[in-house]
Amino acid sequence: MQSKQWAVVAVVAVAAALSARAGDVSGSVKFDGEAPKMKKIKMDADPKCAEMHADEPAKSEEVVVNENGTLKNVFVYVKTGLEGKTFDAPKEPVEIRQHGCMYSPRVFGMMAKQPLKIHNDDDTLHNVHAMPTASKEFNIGQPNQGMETTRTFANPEVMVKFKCDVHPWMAAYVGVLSHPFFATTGEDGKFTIKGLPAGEYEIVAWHEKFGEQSAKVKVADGAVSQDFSFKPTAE
Amino acid sequence: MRNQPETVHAYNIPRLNWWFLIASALFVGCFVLMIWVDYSGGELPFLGLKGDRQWKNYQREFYTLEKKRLASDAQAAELRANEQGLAKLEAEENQLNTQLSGKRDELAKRQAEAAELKVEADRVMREFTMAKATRDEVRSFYEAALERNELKKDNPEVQDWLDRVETANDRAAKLELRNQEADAKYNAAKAKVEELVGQRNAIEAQKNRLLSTKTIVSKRLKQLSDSLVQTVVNAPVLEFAAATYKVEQIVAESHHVDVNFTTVPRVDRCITCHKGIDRKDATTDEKAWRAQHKIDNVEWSKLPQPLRSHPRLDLYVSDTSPHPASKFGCTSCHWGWDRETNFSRAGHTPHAEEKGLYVQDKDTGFWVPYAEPDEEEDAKVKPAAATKVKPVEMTQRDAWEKNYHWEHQEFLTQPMRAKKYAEASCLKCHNNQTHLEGGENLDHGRRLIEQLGCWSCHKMKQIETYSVHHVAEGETFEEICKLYDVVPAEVRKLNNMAADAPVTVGRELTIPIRTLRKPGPSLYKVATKDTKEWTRKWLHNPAAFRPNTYMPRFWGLDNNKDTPVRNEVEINAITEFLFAVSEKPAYPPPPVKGDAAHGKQLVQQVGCLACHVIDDKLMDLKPTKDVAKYLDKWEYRRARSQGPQLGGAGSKSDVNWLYAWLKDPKQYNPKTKMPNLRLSDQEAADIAEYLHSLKHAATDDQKLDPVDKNELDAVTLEYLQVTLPRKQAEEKINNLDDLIEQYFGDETTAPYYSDATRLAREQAQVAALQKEYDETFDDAVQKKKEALEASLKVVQEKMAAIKQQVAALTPEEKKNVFLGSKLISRLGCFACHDIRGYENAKPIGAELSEWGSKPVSKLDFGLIEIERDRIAWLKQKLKAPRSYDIGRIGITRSPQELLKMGKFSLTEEQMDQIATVISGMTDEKLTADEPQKLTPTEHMIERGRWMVKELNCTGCHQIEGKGWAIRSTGIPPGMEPPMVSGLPGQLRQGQRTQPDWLFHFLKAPQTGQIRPWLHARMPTFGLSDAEANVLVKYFAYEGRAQFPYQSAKINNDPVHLAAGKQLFEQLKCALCHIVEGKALGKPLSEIPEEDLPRLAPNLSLAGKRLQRDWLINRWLPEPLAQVPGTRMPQFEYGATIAPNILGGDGLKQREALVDYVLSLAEHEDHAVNNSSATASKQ
Ligand SMILES: [Cu+2]
Repeated sequence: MQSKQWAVVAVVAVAAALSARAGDVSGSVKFDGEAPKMKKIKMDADPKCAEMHADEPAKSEEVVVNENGTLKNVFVYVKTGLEGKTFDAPKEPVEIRQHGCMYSPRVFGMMAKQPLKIHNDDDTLHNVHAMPTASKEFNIGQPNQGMETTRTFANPEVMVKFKCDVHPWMAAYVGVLSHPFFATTGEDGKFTIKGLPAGEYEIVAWHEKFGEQSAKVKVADGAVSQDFSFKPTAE
Repeated sequence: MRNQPETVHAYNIPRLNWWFLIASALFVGCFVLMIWVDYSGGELPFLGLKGDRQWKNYQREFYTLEKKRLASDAQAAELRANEQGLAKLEAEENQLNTQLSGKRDELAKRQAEAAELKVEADRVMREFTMAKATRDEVRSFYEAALERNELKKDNPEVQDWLDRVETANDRAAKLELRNQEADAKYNAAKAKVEELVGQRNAIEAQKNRLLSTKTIVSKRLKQLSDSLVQTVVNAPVLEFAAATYKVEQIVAESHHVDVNFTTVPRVDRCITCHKGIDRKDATTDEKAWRAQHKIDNVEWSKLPQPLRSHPRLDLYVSDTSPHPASKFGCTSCHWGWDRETNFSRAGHTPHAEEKGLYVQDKDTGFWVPYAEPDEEEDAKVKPAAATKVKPVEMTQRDAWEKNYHWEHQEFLTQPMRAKKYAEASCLKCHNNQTHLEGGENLDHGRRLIEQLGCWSCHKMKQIETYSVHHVAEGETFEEICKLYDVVPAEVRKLNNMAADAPVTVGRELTIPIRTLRKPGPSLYKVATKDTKEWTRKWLHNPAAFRPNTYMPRFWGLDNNKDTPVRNEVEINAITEFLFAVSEKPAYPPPPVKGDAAHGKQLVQQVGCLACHVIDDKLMDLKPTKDVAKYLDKWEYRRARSQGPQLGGAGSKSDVNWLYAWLKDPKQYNPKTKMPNLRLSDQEAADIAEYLHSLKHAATDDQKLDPVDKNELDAVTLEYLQVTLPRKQAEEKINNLDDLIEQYFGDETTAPYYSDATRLAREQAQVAALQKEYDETFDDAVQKKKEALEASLKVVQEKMAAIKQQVAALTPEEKKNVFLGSKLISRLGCFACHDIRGYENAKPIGAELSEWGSKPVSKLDFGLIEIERDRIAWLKQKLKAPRSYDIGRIGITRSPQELLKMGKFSLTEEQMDQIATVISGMTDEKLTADEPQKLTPTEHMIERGRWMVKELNCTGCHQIEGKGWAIRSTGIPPGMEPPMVSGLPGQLRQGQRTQPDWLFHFLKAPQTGQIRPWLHARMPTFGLSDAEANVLVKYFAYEGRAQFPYQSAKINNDPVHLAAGKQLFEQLKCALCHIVEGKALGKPLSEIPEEDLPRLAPNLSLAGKRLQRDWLINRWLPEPLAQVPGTRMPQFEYGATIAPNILGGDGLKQREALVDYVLSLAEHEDHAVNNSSATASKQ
């Protein structure tokens, strides 16, 4: 959850710098349906990975429904309404870790040109293969435990997928934006986008499996509430 | 007063004065009108004048824009200057000026002093110069006097001059000193002035530099905006000097045009109207910057014609492009009447078929293409869209008629080509190149012509292309052939050289780039492949069975659709002929039982779909329109059209034939392009079973009409009468044996039938040899005789058998075979197919090498209503080839005289592409510097590119950034065949692999070696050494790789290799890469299907396969730069990953790793490599 904290820190920092007339958009993302079973991941391909989950096999985080019936790993961001405004990218890096042959966090946001720290906690080879279309593709091998590499994305793009070619089950998604107004739902399924200047916006909630939903919100002084709800797709 | 007789006039003077007045008024009126016409754009509808001076209006429009452009440029330049610190400079300047104003008196004093001293210095300088001149003069007089007086120095005249010389020397020396002093004084005074104003002046200069663009732009703007200046320079009569509005032209010295029987350089006046043609748009960054600062930006590429800029300034017009307008002009490519400035007469040609939506522009009144206003971007670009009225559907031609009073110019020899055919002209210089940047239509058109076989009926020099080699001193014929990797016999034949004849120095040898082969399959053994019934159905309408087939339709067309009885007879006769003369090898059933379901899976996996499409949906589409739409999907038009569509294969051939074909296509047809996929018996049986299960119900259910015997007699008689009088023909119809024997037999008998005297000649030769032996008792002669005799015996036996075989045919069969042979001759089937007895037949089509220049008046437009235009005629010919017979059948044309070209199954776009190529085949003579001459290296690259196209390598691989069609067949990512070469800067095969390895790989690839996880297989193409060498050299030259290749030295130092091994283990290379038959720690056979896509190439083969330099310096440092999307990660070699290995030196680490990998396997079969490889031995 570290990157989320960073995102929040970034949001707060920028929000403080903005004019007085600003508001927050918050809400929760509900999952309208029966929670699907999380599939077990077969990690036979790399014994090192399997070892780390010897007690209990790792489960696919493609769809994570929280206990309160909300959906985790939904990326919520301002899609339109900020045209013509420019925001400086924070110097503080966002972090993604490879831990137990899984990405953590799986879904997160960052700003274009903001540094991204990529960390390998495992004693095996991971390669972080980011596949953006608007920025330069990169594929870095991290053979050693504790290795750290920093990269940036030059241009905004929602979402950029990460994969590991050694461990095909590994996947992560990052929303790269030109502004700091985004958030990702966690274990409570809630999100808060802080300090939006007054105005009308299109807010989009993205989920890797269930696609996108959008809503129009009007921000004046104070808080605005906006909930989303996803339905399971037929398989 | 004398009474002079009054002059008697036949006319009345006062009345004459009146007439004079009227005439003068008329004259003045006409004069004024003339000026008016000339200066107003020339539109006088009541006099029928349609605006010959329209260009003036365009130029006015242009200059309005130009002023807008200049104003915005000035604004931008000023802003840029500000961004670069103009304001600061100005502030500094002001401050310094203020300071200076306090010292105004002082400055004035110093300036006055300096000025005074300058005057003095100049005066002294002049005096000094004069003194020097005087001194030189006196010196020469002295020397002359000395000479005159025989060098006697004491002569008074000499003495006198000597005195004068001394005086002059003195004076000059003194003045020199004074000059220096005066200069020094002036400089000192100047420095004092400078002390006060120097800094200010420097800042001013800097400021002017920043503003230089703005100054230039503003000056031009002022000039254009000054209405007085403009009125004067453009005024009638005065305009000859420097008018703004004038006819402009480019003289293209080396590009000629025929005018009234003489050849003159092209004088292109197109830029008179197309004044914005060379204007570059602002870059994206500049555009964004301007938008941000609200500065106007003229987008030349989006303007309405004629001011729009050329769409490909990178290739044309601009001085930095390969075709600068200053050298090529416009009409050398676009055609049109070079000197003309009237829209219609210049030869502008509209698209006359496709309809589009047009709207009338409120400002200009012109009908312009309608742009959907709801697109945000568009609305921003063209706000005018909102003010336009309701769109109307019309063709470009309709719009032009309204806008420009356009009229078709039937007698213009080189009318401009409509936009979609514009690439046609590239062909006259670039026909040697397989791919042309910006010539995509041409590329596709040429590919179609090759596949359809247009070239095999119609000679087209532009399709069979050659390089010319000038034989140099000391070169032998064999060396030249080796240089180009061509078969000597082919070159001899092409150049009409006798066998063994040497080449003479200076001779121009033609070397083929493309070796075209007949596009249709061989019919020598057709009886074992198809059934008679299917063949007849196929001939009726090939497209009904395969909508995208290259086989044209010959029956049921405009000139024979009303004679179904005759058609049935003709189709049946050809079928009977083909089956009667066909060889009939036996194809036994497959040795194992096939499994259709597994066969289907194999077809999807092993690579069949890179060349073939299997599409049941395609088979069921009935209406032509739907099919055309469906065919427009790119795979049908591009790579996957290499082989036929396979849906319905089971309605055509049986399992036995399919099995034999799949196991080894070349046993059926040695010339086929179908490669061998090294299928096991089981695999081949499975695929055969699957293909046989694909039925085409419509074909299976189709009922054939019975063949009318009377009609067969009538048509046979008709053909006999072509050469025989009626009476004889009626007798001959019952005795056809001698006319048809020649078509039977095989390749041993064929030469004896095609050369009627050959048998007798060889028999005489036997007799002669016998005689020689009788005299010499030479065993060699005896042997030769016996061999010849034996072969003749075989031939004679075969011919006797054929005689019997033919005699045994029923009269009806004989008639069918005879008629079939005549129809094949008439329709020219042998041009595309190998047919027994037609080995030496000449193609039936007219040569088209200069068709693009054929006068329209020489084209037969028949009795149908189409535009009298070359391309319109051609398109009609492709669309409905027999339609020019409509209204003539049986009236002015007998059945023998009817048109015979078949109708091809083509989409509109494909027809356009073909029309582009054919209309580009002209008789234009090129000057020496025009055609693209190929060097041997370029020649090899072009041959390689052509072979890549011919073998359809791009069906499976990406080569030069093109292709990879197989990826569209649903093959999962990671399972596709590898990229071979990408866009410039990316991977190059010639850099990656060793030429020796590549040569052997291309000749005999093996299944499951490098990337054993791939289901797709590299096929065995059966390449000759020369062909494999062409590809090896192509990859090397195209990739600018080292060639011939020098094997790289591996550093065998054990410490170095141990470091490599350590890295190999640390980077966990073997986690993905296959080493010693294992990956992921398991034998390959145990790896589950879902894990296959993450495997990486077999490194045990790297030693003889990969180039060391490429691995160390290109691949390992940045894999993504070589292969976009590759799974190979980039490691940060050096201290980051392994500070303790080789001192953390990245380069040393890569070298150690690569050397370790390259020595993973022994080079055990190096000896094999060297024995037969010719690849690197030149
Ligand atoms: Cu991994």
